[in-house]
Amino acid sequence: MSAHEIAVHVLIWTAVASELVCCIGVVAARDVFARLHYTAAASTLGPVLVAIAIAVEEGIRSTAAAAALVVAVFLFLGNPAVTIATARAAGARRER
Amino acid sequence: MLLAALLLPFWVLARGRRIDALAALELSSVVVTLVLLLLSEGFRRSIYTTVPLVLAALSVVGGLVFARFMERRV
Repeated sequence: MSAHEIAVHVLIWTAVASELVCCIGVVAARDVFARLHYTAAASTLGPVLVAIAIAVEEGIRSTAAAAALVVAVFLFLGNPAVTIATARAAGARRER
Repeated sequence: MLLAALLLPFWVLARGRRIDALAALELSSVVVTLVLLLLSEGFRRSIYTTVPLVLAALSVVGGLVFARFMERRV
């Protein structure tokens, strides 16, 4: 197994492990605010690692790498806004 | 393994309160996006990467709409 393949495997399995931890955390957390920590973490680390892995595997100029990077950027920039909106909704529901 | 991990947020979706279900829905949409991305890479069909691309955009917009709706109405 070459260093290239080892790097791809490490990146993919780190991403899978981080998503797994976040899934377990969402179930184990007590309230919605604790759950949102895991939701936000899942949308940052996992997609970025997968995008880097695909870029390493296919080459940075390939179509697949470009699409994976765009997906990672969408999730990285968009999901904090969703997390904040969900937390605001949870806060508003608590006050009612 | 990611598909098996999806059972955990699905359990929260089915059993939790509505706002907890929204957090679980956001997590599950991220995981499904990653699964589709990895499947398109695994099958070597770069044209299929359009699907996770659209899902990523729609999940962000959908999450915002759901959150605004739950803040005001439900």
